[in-house]
Amino acid sequence: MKSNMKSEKRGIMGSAFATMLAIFFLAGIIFAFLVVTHIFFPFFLKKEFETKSALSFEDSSPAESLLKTSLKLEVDHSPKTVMTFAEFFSIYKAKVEADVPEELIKDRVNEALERTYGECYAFKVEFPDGSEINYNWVEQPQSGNPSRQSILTPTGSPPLTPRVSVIQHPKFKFSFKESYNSCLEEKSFEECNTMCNVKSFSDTGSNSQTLSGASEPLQGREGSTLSPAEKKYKIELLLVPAGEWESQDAANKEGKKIVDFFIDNLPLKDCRSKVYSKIGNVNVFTKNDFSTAFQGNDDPSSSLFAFEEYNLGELEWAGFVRKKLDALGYEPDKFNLIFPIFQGDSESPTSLDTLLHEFSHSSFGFGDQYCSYLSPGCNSLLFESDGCDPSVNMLKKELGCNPASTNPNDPNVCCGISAGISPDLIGDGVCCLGNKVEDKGKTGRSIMSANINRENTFFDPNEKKILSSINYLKCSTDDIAPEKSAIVLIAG
Amino acid sequence: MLNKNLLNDKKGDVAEGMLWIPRLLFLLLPLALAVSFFIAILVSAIDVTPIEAAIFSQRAGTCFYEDVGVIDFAKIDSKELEKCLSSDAVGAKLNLTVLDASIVAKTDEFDYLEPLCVFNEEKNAPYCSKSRKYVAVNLEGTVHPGTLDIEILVKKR
Repeated sequence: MKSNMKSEKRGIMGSAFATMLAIFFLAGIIFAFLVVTHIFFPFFLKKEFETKSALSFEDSSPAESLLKTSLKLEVDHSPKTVMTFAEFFSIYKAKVEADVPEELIKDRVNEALERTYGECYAFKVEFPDGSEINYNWVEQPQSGNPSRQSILTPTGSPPLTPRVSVIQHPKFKFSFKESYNSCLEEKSFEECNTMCNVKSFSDTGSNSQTLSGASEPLQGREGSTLSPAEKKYKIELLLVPAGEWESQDAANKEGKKIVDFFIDNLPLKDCRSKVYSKIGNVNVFTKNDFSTAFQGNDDPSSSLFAFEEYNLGELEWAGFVRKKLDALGYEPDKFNLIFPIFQGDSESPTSLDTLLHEFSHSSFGFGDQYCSYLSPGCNSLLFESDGCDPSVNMLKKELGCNPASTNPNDPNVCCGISAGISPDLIGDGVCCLGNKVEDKGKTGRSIMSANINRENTFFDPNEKKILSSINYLKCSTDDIAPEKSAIVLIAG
Repeated sequence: MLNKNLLNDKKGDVAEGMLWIPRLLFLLLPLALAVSFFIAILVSAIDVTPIEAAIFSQRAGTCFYEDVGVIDFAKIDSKELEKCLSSDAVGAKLNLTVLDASIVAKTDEFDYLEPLCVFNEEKNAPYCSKSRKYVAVNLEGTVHPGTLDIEILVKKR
């Protein structure tokens, strides 16, 4: 019994010892496993979350900013040209390529970017025909995340990881990458400026820069006025010089007189300073082309064509003009009216008011004031006759124009030889003097008169009343609204 | 005799009981290791402060856009920046340079937290980051090229 107990005791001790050994052995295995996995598979034990990879989202705003930056080019034998980079790249293949060397374009882009990223950037502009403008751009291997590929910094510093953004424009593809911000992850602005050779603004001598009106006020289309996301104005006109002009300046002055007349006769005149009138500055590309286009028309010496003829719709030459305007980045569809101006227009009263006359047809619903009393009057709709809807601005004897009168002594006689209009035609679709107007101390006739010899033209009282009810012609007390009332561009 | 045996039994019980101490110890040790091993795999404390900082940096960069990529120079203002960020945990400083004109806007948070950025690696120091963007700047109606430097700091929670 005793020996049995002893042996049992040994058995217990033996079992405990074996258990301890087993536990030690097991702990050793686990410890070894942990050590091995720590050494060879560290990622397995603890997830190292690469927060930087979460931050590698694409920020295309610098590329967008660049495309909206104004570009001023001086081309041989031509005045300066101002447009946004996006506009420029849009027309580059259409016209400019021969005139503007690729190196000059790179210089202009560099002038903008090197003050931000120094030399730590690259860009590429690809055109649909396969050609491209390339600055320091090196294609990265297809494999891997392209945004994580490295590019060398200019000073031979360690490679930095570039951030890439691509903007697909209808007429080009703009790719941009910079590694300056990768540098900033580790270093200070000063260190990165040194590493990337960033020129400070003072170093570049801003007065001598040719970008974006830095040295002089822009006199034309700056980037913000024609960019795709620009503010939408209620009236947008584009005046296109046509025919032969002695100079761009002459076209600008002529355009200004016509625009002044336009504004002076609308309620907008009371907030004139808020109405934009900008003179485009792209004549180097347009002048001859437009001259050619308009010379192909029936009578390019006159600007008395109806608005429809200038609506760039059906006519072959109009299509040509549309194409040209489109190529120049003017977006013809956005304008309420594209109107040709010819040298000498402003000296002729009839030509001076033609823009407003035609605009009134399309925008205010005003009709031509014709004599129409002999006909049923249902075509021109300008005479009160049974069964016809009269025009909103029809002739009225109360307004000094009685189309029924043939008495030369009648103060309201309005049509035919009795009114001094030759040839002596009375009827639908022929001219009359138009309703009488007294304005600014002068007696005149309605701008909507069909009389091609009209002088002292203003809107008649009936028309003025209608205009005063049109909201977008009112000068709002709102600080912003008036600025959005109208914009007039004069293409050179 | 019986008493002696009983005494011996008591000693044996004590010895036997003492043995359970190392047994338990060595049972618990690998168990603790195993548990910590799985915790290491399954539970990770992820510090999202850098991501937070990047997001606020993006927001700060767009606070004064009048159009994508175009900043209205006249609108840059510290109070507006604070409103735009609308977080006490974040401080920001914007430095907009257009040609030779420069304008700086910064939040109050930035002023008092910024000195702590030198301890960026420390546990409770704010996380600080900086970035630079090329921007187009609308200055009195004309668009100029410019640079926007953004410094952002986020309090660690």
